[in-house]
Amino acid sequence: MAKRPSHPNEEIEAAVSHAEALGWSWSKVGGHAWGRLLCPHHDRDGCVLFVWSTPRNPENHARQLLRQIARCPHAKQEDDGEDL
Amino acid sequence: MMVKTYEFSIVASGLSSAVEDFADQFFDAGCDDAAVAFQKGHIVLDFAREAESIGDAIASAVAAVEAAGAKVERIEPDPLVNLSDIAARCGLTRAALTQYAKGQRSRDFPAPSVRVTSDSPLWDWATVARWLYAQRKLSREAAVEAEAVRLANTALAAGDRPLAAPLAQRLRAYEQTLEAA
Repeated sequence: MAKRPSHPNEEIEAAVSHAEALGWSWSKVGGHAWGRLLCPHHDRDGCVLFVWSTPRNPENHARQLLRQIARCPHAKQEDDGEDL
Repeated sequence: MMVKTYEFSIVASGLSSAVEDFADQFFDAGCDDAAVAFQKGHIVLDFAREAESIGDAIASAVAAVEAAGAKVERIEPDPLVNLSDIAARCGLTRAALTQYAKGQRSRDFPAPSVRVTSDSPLWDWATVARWLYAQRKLSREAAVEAEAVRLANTALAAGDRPLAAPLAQRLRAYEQTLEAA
Protein backbone atom coordinates (compact mmCIF):
# COMPACT_ATOMS: atom_id res chain seq x y z
CA MET A 1 0.00 0.00 0.00
CA ALA A 2 1.28 3.45 -0.86
CA LYS A 3 2.43 5.41 2.11
CA ARG A 4 0.23 8.35 2.97
CA PRO A 5 0.92 11.35 5.18
CA SER A 6 -0.64 11.44 8.64
CA HIS A 7 -3.51 13.85 9.19
CA PRO A 8 -2.36 16.58 11.60
CA ASN A 9 -5.45 16.06 13.78
CA GLU A 10 -5.22 12.98 15.95
CA GLU A 11 -8.92 12.10 15.90
CA ILE A 12 -9.24 12.47 12.14
CA GLU A 13 -6.09 10.38 11.67
CA ALA A 14 -7.67 7.68 13.85
CA ALA A 15 -10.85 7.75 11.72
CA VAL A 16 -8.79 7.39 8.53
CA SER A 17 -6.80 4.48 10.00
CA HIS A 18 -10.09 2.85 10.98
CA ALA A 19 -11.32 3.18 7.38
CA GLU A 20 -8.11 1.61 6.09
CA ALA A 21 -8.51 -1.31 8.49
CA LEU A 22 -11.91 -1.88 6.86
CA GLY A 23 -10.39 -1.94 3.38
CA TRP A 24 -10.76 1.71 2.32
CA SER A 25 -7.92 3.32 0.42
CA TRP A 26 -6.59 6.84 0.58
CA SER A 27 -5.67 9.08 -2.32
CA LYS A 28 -4.47 12.63 -2.51
CA VAL A 29 -6.63 15.42 -3.90
CA GLY A 30 -5.85 19.07 -4.44
CA GLY A 31 -7.45 22.02 -2.68
CA HIS A 32 -9.09 22.05 0.74
CA ALA A 33 -9.48 18.30 0.91
CA TRP A 34 -6.56 16.56 2.55
CA GLY A 35 -7.52 13.32 0.90
CA ARG A 36 -10.19 11.12 -0.55
CA LEU A 37 -11.15 7.73 0.81
CA LEU A 38 -12.47 5.05 -1.50
CA CYS A 39 -14.42 2.19 0.00
CA PRO A 40 -13.52 -1.47 -0.72
CA HIS A 41 -15.97 -1.51 -3.63
CA HIS A 42 -13.76 0.31 -6.12
CA ASP A 43 -16.05 1.17 -8.97
CA ARG A 44 -18.71 3.70 -9.83
CA ASP A 45 -21.07 2.36 -7.17
CA GLY A 46 -18.47 2.55 -4.44
CA CYS A 47 -18.44 5.18 -1.71
CA VAL A 48 -16.15 8.20 -1.88
CA LEU A 49 -15.46 10.19 1.26
CA PHE A 50 -13.59 13.50 1.44
CA VAL A 51 -11.44 14.46 4.42
CA TRP A 52 -10.79 18.16 5.02
CA SER A 53 -7.33 19.48 5.94
CA THR A 54 -8.86 22.16 8.16
CA PRO A 55 -12.50 21.38 9.00
CA ARG A 56 -14.36 23.95 11.06
CA ASN A 57 -14.34 21.57 14.02
CA PRO A 58 -11.89 18.61 13.83
CA GLU A 59 -13.63 16.52 16.52
CA ASN A 60 -16.97 16.83 14.75
CA HIS A 61 -15.33 16.01 11.44
CA ALA A 62 -13.75 12.84 12.84
CA ARG A 63 -17.17 11.73 14.15
CA GLN A 64 -18.83 12.49 10.81
CA LEU A 65 -16.21 10.40 9.00
CA LEU A 66 -16.74 7.45 11.35
CA ARG A 67 -20.49 7.66 10.83
CA GLN A 68 -20.17 7.76 7.05
CA ILE A 69 -17.70 4.87 7.09
CA ALA A 70 -20.22 2.89 9.15
CA ARG A 71 -22.92 3.58 6.55
CA CYS A 72 -20.89 2.08 3.69
CA PRO A 73 -22.70 -1.05 2.53
CA HIS A 74 -19.56 -2.51 0.91
CA ALA A 75 -17.17 -2.78 3.87
CA LYS A 76 -15.24 -5.94 4.57
CA GLN A 77 -15.60 -7.32 8.07
CA GLU A 78 -12.90 -5.91 10.29
CA ASP A 79 -10.28 -8.46 11.40
CA ASP A 80 -10.73 -9.81 14.89
CA GLY A 81 -7.25 -8.68 15.92
CA GLU A 82 -7.76 -5.18 17.30
CA ASP A 83 -4.11 -4.17 17.00
CA LEU A 84 -4.42 -0.41 16.78
CA MET B 1 -30.67 32.54 22.25
CA MET B 2 -28.12 29.84 22.79
CA VAL B 3 -25.98 28.55 19.97
CA LYS B 4 -26.05 24.78 19.69
CA THR B 5 -24.57 22.23 17.31
CA TYR B 6 -27.20 20.49 15.19
CA GLU B 7 -26.46 17.30 13.28
CA PHE B 8 -28.31 16.24 10.13
CA SER B 9 -27.53 15.13 6.60
CA ILE B 10 -28.32 16.71 3.27
CA VAL B 11 -28.74 14.43 0.25
CA ALA B 12 -27.95 16.25 -2.98
CA SER B 13 -27.28 15.68 -6.66
CA GLY B 14 -26.16 17.52 -9.76
CA LEU B 15 -22.40 17.67 -9.28
CA SER B 16 -19.99 15.01 -10.52
CA SER B 17 -17.59 13.65 -7.91
CA ALA B 18 -15.11 13.01 -10.74
CA VAL B 19 -14.21 16.68 -11.24
CA GLU B 20 -11.04 17.86 -9.55
CA ASP B 21 -12.62 20.61 -7.45
CA PHE B 22 -15.73 18.63 -6.42
CA ALA B 23 -15.01 18.93 -2.71
CA ASP B 24 -13.65 22.48 -2.93
CA GLN B 25 -16.93 23.74 -4.34
CA PHE B 26 -18.58 22.74 -1.06
CA PHE B 27 -15.74 24.01 1.12
CA ASP B 28 -15.76 27.41 -0.56
CA ALA B 29 -19.55 27.65 -0.17
CA GLY B 30 -19.19 27.24 3.60
CA CYS B 31 -19.67 23.50 4.05
CA ASP B 32 -16.44 23.07 6.04
CA ASP B 33 -18.61 21.88 8.94
CA ALA B 34 -19.85 18.95 6.82
CA ALA B 35 -18.25 15.71 5.71
CA VAL B 36 -18.80 15.33 1.97
CA ALA B 37 -19.35 11.85 0.60
CA PHE B 38 -20.58 10.18 -2.51
CA GLN B 39 -22.71 7.15 -1.61
CA LYS B 40 -25.11 5.02 -3.61
CA GLY B 41 -25.18 7.55 -6.43
CA HIS B 42 -25.96 10.51 -4.17
CA ILE B 43 -23.93 13.31 -2.68
CA VAL B 44 -24.34 13.05 1.10
CA LEU B 45 -23.22 15.88 3.37
CA ASP B 46 -23.18 15.15 7.11
CA PHE B 47 -23.46 18.49 8.87
CA ALA B 48 -22.59 19.46 12.44
CA ARG B 49 -23.74 23.08 12.23
CA GLU B 50 -23.72 25.67 15.00
CA ALA B 51 -26.81 27.85 14.94
CA GLU B 52 -29.40 29.44 17.20
CA SER B 53 -32.07 26.98 16.14
CA ILE B 54 -32.49 23.77 14.17
CA GLY B 55 -34.43 25.77 11.57
CA ASP B 56 -31.55 28.22 11.06
CA ALA B 57 -29.06 25.36 10.89
CA ILE B 58 -30.98 23.51 8.18
CA ALA B 59 -31.87 26.62 6.17
CA SER B 60 -28.29 27.94 6.09
CA ALA B 61 -26.87 24.51 5.23
CA VAL B 62 -29.35 24.11 2.35
CA ALA B 63 -28.37 27.58 1.07
CA ALA B 64 -24.65 26.64 1.24
CA VAL B 65 -25.14 23.36 -0.65
CA GLU B 66 -27.11 25.20 -3.32
CA ALA B 67 -24.44 27.92 -3.53
CA ALA B 68 -21.95 25.12 -4.29
CA GLY B 69 -24.06 24.33 -7.36
CA ALA B 70 -25.75 21.15 -6.14
CA LYS B 71 -29.46 20.37 -6.04
CA VAL B 72 -30.76 19.54 -2.56
CA GLU B 73 -32.89 16.39 -2.66
CA ARG B 74 -33.83 16.02 0.98
CA ILE B 75 -32.82 16.34 4.60
CA GLU B 76 -32.16 13.26 6.69
CA PRO B 77 -32.45 11.53 9.20
CA ASP B 78 -35.00 9.75 7.12
CA PRO B 79 -38.47 10.92 8.17
CA LEU B 80 -39.96 7.46 7.59
CA VAL B 81 -38.98 4.99 10.28
CA ASN B 82 -39.67 1.42 11.35
CA LEU B 83 -39.94 0.29 14.97
CA SER B 84 -36.20 -0.47 15.19
CA ASP B 85 -35.36 3.04 13.97
CA ILE B 86 -37.75 4.51 16.53
CA ALA B 87 -36.15 2.43 19.28
CA ALA B 88 -32.68 3.66 18.29
CA ARG B 89 -33.80 7.29 18.18
CA CYS B 90 -35.58 7.40 21.53
CA GLY B 91 -33.54 4.90 23.52
CA LEU B 92 -36.43 2.52 24.28
CA THR B 93 -36.11 -1.18 23.52
CA ARG B 94 -37.50 -2.67 20.34
CA ALA B 95 -39.68 -4.94 22.50
CA ALA B 96 -41.19 -1.94 24.27
CA LEU B 97 -42.03 -0.32 20.94
CA THR B 98 -43.66 -3.48 19.64
CA GLN B 99 -45.90 -3.40 22.72
CA TYR B 100 -46.71 0.27 22.12
CA ALA B 101 -47.49 -0.37 18.46
CA LYS B 102 -49.77 -3.29 19.34
CA GLY B 103 -51.57 -1.17 21.89
CA GLN B 104 -50.47 -3.39 24.78
CA ARG B 105 -48.82 -0.61 26.73
CA SER B 106 -50.87 2.34 25.74
CA ARG B 107 -53.74 2.89 23.38
CA ASP B 108 -52.94 5.83 21.23
CA PHE B 109 -49.59 5.08 19.57
CA PRO B 110 -49.73 6.79 16.15
CA ALA B 111 -50.81 4.69 13.19
CA PRO B 112 -48.16 3.93 10.56
CA SER B 113 -48.30 6.19 7.53
CA VAL B 114 -46.76 4.05 4.77
CA ARG B 115 -46.93 0.34 3.85
CA VAL B 116 -49.71 0.01 6.38
CA THR B 117 -50.97 -3.27 4.99
CA SER B 118 -47.56 -4.95 4.97
CA ASP B 119 -45.65 -6.72 7.74
CA SER B 120 -43.14 -3.88 7.81
CA PRO B 121 -45.07 -0.63 8.10
CA LEU B 122 -43.32 2.73 8.37
CA TRP B 123 -44.15 5.62 10.67
CA ASP B 124 -43.72 9.35 10.21
CA TRP B 125 -40.93 10.18 12.67
CA ALA B 126 -42.22 13.66 13.53
CA THR B 127 -45.65 12.24 14.46
CA VAL B 128 -44.12 9.51 16.59
CA ALA B 129 -41.67 11.96 18.18
CA ARG B 130 -44.53 14.21 19.23
CA TRP B 131 -46.35 11.27 20.79
CA LEU B 132 -43.19 10.12 22.57
CA TYR B 133 -42.68 13.66 23.88
CA ALA B 134 -46.22 13.68 25.25
CA GLN B 135 -45.44 10.38 27.03
CA ARG B 136 -42.22 11.90 28.40
CA LYS B 137 -40.16 9.33 26.49
CA LEU B 138 -38.41 11.88 24.30
CA SER B 139 -37.02 15.35 24.94
CA ARG B 140 -38.83 18.41 23.69
CA GLU B 141 -35.73 19.33 21.65
CA ALA B 142 -35.76 15.98 19.87
CA ALA B 143 -39.45 16.39 19.04
CA VAL B 144 -38.84 19.88 17.64
CA GLU B 145 -35.87 18.65 15.59
CA ALA B 146 -37.98 15.84 14.14
CA GLU B 147 -40.66 18.32 13.13
CA ALA B 148 -38.01 20.68 11.68
CA VAL B 149 -36.70 17.96 9.38
CA ARG B 150 -40.25 17.10 8.30
CA LEU B 151 -41.13 20.76 7.66
CA ALA B 152 -37.87 21.37 5.79
CA ASN B 153 -38.51 18.41 3.48
CA THR B 154 -42.06 19.58 2.82
CA ALA B 155 -40.79 23.10 2.06
CA LEU B 156 -38.04 21.75 -0.22
CA ALA B 157 -40.55 19.68 -2.16
CA ALA B 158 -42.76 22.77 -2.55
CA GLY B 159 -39.80 24.82 -3.81
CA ASP B 160 -39.90 27.37 -0.94
CA ARG B 161 -36.71 29.48 -1.04
CA PRO B 162 -35.12 30.88 0.98
CA LEU B 163 -36.03 28.32 3.58
CA ALA B 164 -35.21 30.30 6.73
CA ALA B 165 -38.32 32.47 7.18
CA PRO B 166 -41.07 29.93 6.41
CA LEU B 167 -39.25 27.29 8.45
CA ALA B 168 -38.84 29.57 11.47
CA GLN B 169 -42.51 30.61 11.30
CA ARG B 170 -43.83 27.03 11.04
CA LEU B 171 -41.54 25.85 13.83
CA ARG B 172 -42.75 28.62 16.12
CA ALA B 173 -46.32 27.54 15.46
CA TYR B 174 -45.37 23.93 16.19
CA GLU B 175 -43.68 24.86 19.47
CA GLN B 176 -46.85 26.71 20.51
CA THR B 177 -48.93 23.59 19.90
CA LEU B 178 -46.44 21.64 22.05
CA GLU B 179 -46.90 24.17 24.87
CA ALA B 180 -50.65 23.89 24.57
CA ALA B 181 -50.64 20.09 24.64
